[in-house]
Amino acid sequence: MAEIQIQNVTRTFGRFTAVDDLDLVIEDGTFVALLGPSGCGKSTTMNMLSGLLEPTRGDILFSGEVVNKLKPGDRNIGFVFQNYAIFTHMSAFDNIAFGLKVRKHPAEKIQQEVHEVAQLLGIEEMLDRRTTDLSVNDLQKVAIGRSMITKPGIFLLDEPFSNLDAGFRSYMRAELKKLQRELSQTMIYVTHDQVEAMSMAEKIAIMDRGQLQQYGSPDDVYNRPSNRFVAGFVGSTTMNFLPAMLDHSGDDLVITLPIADSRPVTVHPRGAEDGSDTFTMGIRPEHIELVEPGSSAASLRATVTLLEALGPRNIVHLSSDKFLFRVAVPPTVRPRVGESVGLELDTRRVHVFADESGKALV
Amino acid sequence: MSRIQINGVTKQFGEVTALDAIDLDIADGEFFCVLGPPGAGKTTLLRTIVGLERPEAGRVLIGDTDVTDLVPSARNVSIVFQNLALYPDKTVFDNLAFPLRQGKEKVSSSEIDRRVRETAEILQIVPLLKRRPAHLSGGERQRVAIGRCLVRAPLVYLLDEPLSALDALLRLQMRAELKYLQRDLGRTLVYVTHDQVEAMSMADRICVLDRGHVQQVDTPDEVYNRPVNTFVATTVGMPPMNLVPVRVEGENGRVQLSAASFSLGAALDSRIERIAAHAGQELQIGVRPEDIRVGADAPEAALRCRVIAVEPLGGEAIIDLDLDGKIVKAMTPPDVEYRPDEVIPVAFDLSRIHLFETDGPSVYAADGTSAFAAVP
Amino acid sequence: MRALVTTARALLITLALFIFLFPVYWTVTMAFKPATEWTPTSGKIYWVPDEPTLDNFRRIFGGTPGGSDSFLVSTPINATDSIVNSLVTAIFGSLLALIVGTFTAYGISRYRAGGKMLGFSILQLRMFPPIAVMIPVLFLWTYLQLFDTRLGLILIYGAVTFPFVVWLMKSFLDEVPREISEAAIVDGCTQFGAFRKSVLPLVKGGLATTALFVFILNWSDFLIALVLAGNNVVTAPVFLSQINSAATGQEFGSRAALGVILITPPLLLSILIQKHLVRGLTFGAIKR
Repeated sequence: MAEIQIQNVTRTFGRFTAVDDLDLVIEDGTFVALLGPSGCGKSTTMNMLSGLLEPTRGDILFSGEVVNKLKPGDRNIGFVFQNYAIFTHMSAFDNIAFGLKVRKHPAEKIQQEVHEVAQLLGIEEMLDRRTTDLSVNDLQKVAIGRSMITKPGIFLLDEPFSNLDAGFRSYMRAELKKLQRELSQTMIYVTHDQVEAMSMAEKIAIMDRGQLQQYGSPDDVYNRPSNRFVAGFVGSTTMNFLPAMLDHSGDDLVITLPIADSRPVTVHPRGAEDGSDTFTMGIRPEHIELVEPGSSAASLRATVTLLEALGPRNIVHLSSDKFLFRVAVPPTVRPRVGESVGLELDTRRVHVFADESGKALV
Repeated sequence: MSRIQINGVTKQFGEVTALDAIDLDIADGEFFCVLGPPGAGKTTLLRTIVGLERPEAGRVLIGDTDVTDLVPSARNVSIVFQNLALYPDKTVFDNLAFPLRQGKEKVSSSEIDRRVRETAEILQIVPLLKRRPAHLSGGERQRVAIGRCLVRAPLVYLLDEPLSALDALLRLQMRAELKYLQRDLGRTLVYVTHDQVEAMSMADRICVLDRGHVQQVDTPDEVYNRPVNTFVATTVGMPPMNLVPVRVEGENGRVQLSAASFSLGAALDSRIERIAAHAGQELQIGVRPEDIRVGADAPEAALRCRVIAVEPLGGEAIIDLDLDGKIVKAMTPPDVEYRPDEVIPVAFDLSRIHLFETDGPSVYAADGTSAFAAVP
Repeated sequence: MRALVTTARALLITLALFIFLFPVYWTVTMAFKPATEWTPTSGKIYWVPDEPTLDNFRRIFGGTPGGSDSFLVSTPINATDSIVNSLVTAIFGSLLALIVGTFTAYGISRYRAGGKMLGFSILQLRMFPPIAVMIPVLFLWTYLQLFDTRLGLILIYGAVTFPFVVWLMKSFLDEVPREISEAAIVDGCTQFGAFRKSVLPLVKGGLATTALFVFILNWSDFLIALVLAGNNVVTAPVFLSQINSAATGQEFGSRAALGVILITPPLLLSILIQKHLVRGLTFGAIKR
């Protein structure tokens, strides 16, 4: 059992609060991503989990036991860092075997286990090579092998793939996910890249400025963001945000946009209002469709300012009454700059955020 | 006026050939992206255009002037380095004014003031003029660096991966801003990057570079849909194009492509002739993830593959499939519910496949028409 | 077990401190002792002067010690000239090393001048104790008529501290990204202009630290000045070693007084640059 409980953990450095009252449960055997911009507190949280830092307040429990004071070496954790911390004077084999040698395992066992791990990672032929002869990509695998060999209950990875080129990165993501499933280890992965978090993690903990913003599955954080920060941070093409005015109509909310000739949008709330006066509407680029400017389906009109042809889809930039939109369209749709189009909003996918708290109402 | 011609430029560092007889013709006012992996020679190319590197062979022309022997300041080009290289001890104003103060002809301080402010307005950094670089955010520094580039009103702008140090979010914003800026300025802009999304999004034309060799120079559309070899095909597009090896057989006026678990056949005609020439050999089918249909979208598919992993990316999902032991990635709408180890039907959109030789060059691109059909 | 380690550590540190600080303490107290207290009389060691006096200081600047009834009768001496000599040779020697060394360091840092070996060779130079070659230098200097001249000392001081300047300045210059000088070149500067306007302002602190460090070295030099200078150019440390009188032999008190004057500038300057000293010395050690 390697369930991790982070109970109201706070970490301050002098007057600066790096982590603020973090409360999180990571179930045994899950792949969790700690996601957030630089400075959000994810690395600090990681350091507290590993034992390099102690929480200023609150407790961290592994399998029900408080480990705040436990030294990193005693916590049975595997680390993989960004700069892979490889021992350059040793061969690949020796690097991977290191943990076992330190624990004085018999030589035959070491041979067997290192080969097993190397096979799993696909680096068997490179075991005898010196680390200075290996490519960046293979070195990363050696680093992972080294942290795996002692069969830790928990794996902590801190942006391990940021030095790798894009193609290999996506390959390693798949490999890591496969590995985690096969070994059923608890894996905690720190990153600022939301694509990585979305593609690998079973649950994502999004942090900003020391505070937990949302903890949920990729589907949750993408389709039901709990606040404006999460909504704007997750998603390969940023969500469109516009100021909005709200009215009630029975149980529903009617959103009016401050754009001339726009039609109000009716939606059903899912969160409670908290007394804010001003609101923001959010909608993702792929939930808007381009239609004829005069069509009845269009909520508003806009003019095309830019076209980005990304390959599998195009992003159309539009402006309407000083507000800027981005709409994702299939690659065959290519409006010309200056064209006037109508925007149809998928009302089931509209979000509304209260400006003061950032919380999502819809 | 600001057309760039690179004729047979070769640059070597000791034993390493960074650029190998490169020929490029960049049109006046073009947003030209140089795309390639680290080590491809992109930065070297940029530095050669600016004049910080002298080529061992070849000439560089800007406008109609041969600038190969001119120092950087005489070429009338500006460059933004990857790490921005702002002068840390000078204010933003002085950073922007620096280029104007170095010229042989004295520029009056009122003129300097005017031009700096003009540039600052274009980039919306007027409130920052008195600050030092250390007190600016990443995005603000980026704009100051671009400002320093603009203030001399050069013929050509060169940018070396300027967005790579920025947060993902900021990068998205800056892409559009840069595109608008270049459009307004109307000058040639050469932009170096390893991020294919940036290149696709902003470029009028992309030059794909690999280890000092130009692979293809074309519009984003061409490079994406008609790549000339596997390198270009897998460099542009994320996730990269899938490559599936097949054996070619040709007889009785038909060509057949066979893999372990599926076969495709086509009648021999002018387009298929080139493929028939490879009969008895192995070729690779190239198919992009978005051109693979799975599950309910491929009901009559004879091919069935095991799901290895599902990556939900929000706007879409990537499904990793096991095809004869190789991983093939398919892109599907986001709300799918496949589990690992499930076996699902898989079909390629045959009007969008490519065929490549094993060492790279393209042999065939379906280009919208399906010449091939599945052979049971 | 832990307590044992801590006590042992504390003892070692105290011992080290003692070894280094005792001579300083002894010198300072000696500087204020009257002649009668310079040597132990009837077994009593004067840990602190019983009758502190400024006589020693007056003595080294020309005054007659003690008065006419003092048992010390000797010709007046004046240390002023020697102090001036020390200042001139140390300042100009340091300047020479700074200028040549900084340009060398720039060449090595920016342009990898001399390949892999030059930087290391220069550093190796300093591992070599200068005194080992002072006799050959003496012959050369005599031949060049630089013996016993300020210029002669300045040149040697410059040469001997040049490796330090290269070593320190290279580490400071390495910190400045090369793109900054390249940006200046693209903006229109010459190579030297780029160095002066874009790089130099950024290493001001390093330059000051290096200058002070090198000054301290040259100011404190005794052996080189002893060998290469005779009667005309006497620097303060050499002068100090020659303060004797027929009556008492070595004049401990007078020597101590000059000594106190001599160690004050290095002490003050070291405190000033202390922070930067550690940074400069350990910089090259960490590979980024």
